[in-house]
Amino acid sequence: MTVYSKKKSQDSMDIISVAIVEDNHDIRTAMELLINGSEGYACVGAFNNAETALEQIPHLLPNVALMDFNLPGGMNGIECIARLKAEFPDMQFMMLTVYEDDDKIFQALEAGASGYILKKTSPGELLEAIRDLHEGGSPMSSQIARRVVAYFQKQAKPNPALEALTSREKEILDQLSKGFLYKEIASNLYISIETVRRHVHNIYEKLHVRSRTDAVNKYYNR
Amino acid sequence: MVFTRVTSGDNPFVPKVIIKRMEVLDKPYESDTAISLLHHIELPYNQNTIAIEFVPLEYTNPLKNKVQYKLEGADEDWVQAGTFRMARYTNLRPGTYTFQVRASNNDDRWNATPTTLEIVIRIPFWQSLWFRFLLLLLLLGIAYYFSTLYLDYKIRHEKLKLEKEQAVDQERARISSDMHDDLGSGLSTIRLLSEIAKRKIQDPSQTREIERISEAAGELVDKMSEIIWAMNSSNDSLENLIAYMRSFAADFLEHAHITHQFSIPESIPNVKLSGGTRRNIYLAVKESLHNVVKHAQASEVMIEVKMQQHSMTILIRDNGKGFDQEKVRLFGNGLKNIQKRMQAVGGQADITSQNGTIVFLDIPLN
Repeated sequence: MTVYSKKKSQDSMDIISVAIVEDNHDIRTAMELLINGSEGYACVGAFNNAETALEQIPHLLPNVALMDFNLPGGMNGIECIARLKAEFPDMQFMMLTVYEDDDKIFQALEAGASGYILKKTSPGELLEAIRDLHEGGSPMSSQIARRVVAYFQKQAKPNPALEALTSREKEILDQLSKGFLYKEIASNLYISIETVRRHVHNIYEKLHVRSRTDAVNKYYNR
Repeated sequence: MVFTRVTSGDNPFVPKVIIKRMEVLDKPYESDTAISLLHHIELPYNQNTIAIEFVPLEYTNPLKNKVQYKLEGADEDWVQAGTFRMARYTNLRPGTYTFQVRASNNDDRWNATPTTLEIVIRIPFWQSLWFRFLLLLLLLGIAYYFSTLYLDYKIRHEKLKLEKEQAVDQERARISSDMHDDLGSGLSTIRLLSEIAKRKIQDPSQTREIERISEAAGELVDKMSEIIWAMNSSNDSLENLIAYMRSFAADFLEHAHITHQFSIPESIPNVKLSGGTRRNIYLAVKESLHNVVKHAQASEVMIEVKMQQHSMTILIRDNGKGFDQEKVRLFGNGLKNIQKRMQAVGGQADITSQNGTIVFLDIPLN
């Protein structure tokens, strides 16, 4: 476990502070090196288990936290995200996953992740994904979109306290679930790709709120 | 009283018979009314041995009187009483009987109207209709109860079997998931490290092999992702397959800088497709698109999905150079694979060359 202190920004570009929670040594150190070696990014902490991450991240307050699923010890990545997101709602969480396993990814999204990235992703794409997330955009595959649609449909009682999806968001979800790319959706709806990304991000935030409410309700057996 | 001298042969008086006595189970039948005046007797089922003593009221020549009796319901025909003026019936079955007795005088003149006594042997309650009906109901009730018990048992048994099967499936899924995770983690590591190595080498001409290592590792991870998608039964729908294929095609062609056009119906029927079928169809399309990018030298691709009554067709047309149907071996096993995959799902593939390559897949749906 290595802990770095917050780097001060040298130039006008936003430096994104990143924390990594990944138990695979090679992947973790490779990512650490990559992030620190890239301009505009700083790795403020790298952990190999959830418990330590839970301890240290509140002090480090990274902008983005990359979290793996399977972590040694009692807690897994999903639980770690849930706990941290509850305390720090502005912190962005990116799930590190080996495959596009939609079930697992969706669980992470429910817990508080706003993005996911495959471990096999090339370094360039990894950095891009971190920046996108930091700037309020999120990725969503067609398979994830299908699950998100099903999730919002399953919500039987429309709770007025919870924000419903806007018609634009529904439209984007619909096209994503049919297999359209961000680029295609942007051109279909005459908006920019960033706007699409931001809408997806907002959809995830609404998902978080609902799923937290569901969890609380389930706990209190309402 | 007038006495009239009657000569032999024309005695006009027809004797009446009266029932003098009755015995039930060898014991005299007790009744308030004299038995001779009774017309109707009811006996319980177990008092069904009776004896009736009767006497004709004709005293001209009593010895020459003839008596006949008949128990309607037990005797087929009249029974000559002879001198024994008693009729005996044992173990009469429950029912209504009419005891008829008539006599003739010494001149053989029979009484046209016999004396009758209706005897009813009541049926025991267990032979009565209402009892039998209730019994039937009870038996039906019991049969129904047992049948529901049996059904419950069968259901529980099936449920247990299913649970066991599910447990086995879950275990298998867990093992394969662990295996996939280990493999995938390793491959991702290889890829990431090779990418970092590539970056460290300044001269791009030196990085070709590392590039291939990185690509190969990445492709394997993609293949495993595809397996996971196929294995997940919550993806078993035609809608899901089409979204997955479109998403892959758009991304793949985008990266290859080939313009693409999709024609997919707005509403897709709710058809269930197994993981194996989805995988075969997806891979057939993937293979076709790989051929386009690798061999066709095309700039445009059109993918058209059409729904027919009992099937789906996928048309992949590019504006490339097509292929020489004679020299198809250039593609290696590519085209044969596509055909094999279509055969596996009970469909067929038609691959022709006409101003480009046209791959036409016909897939039956149930």
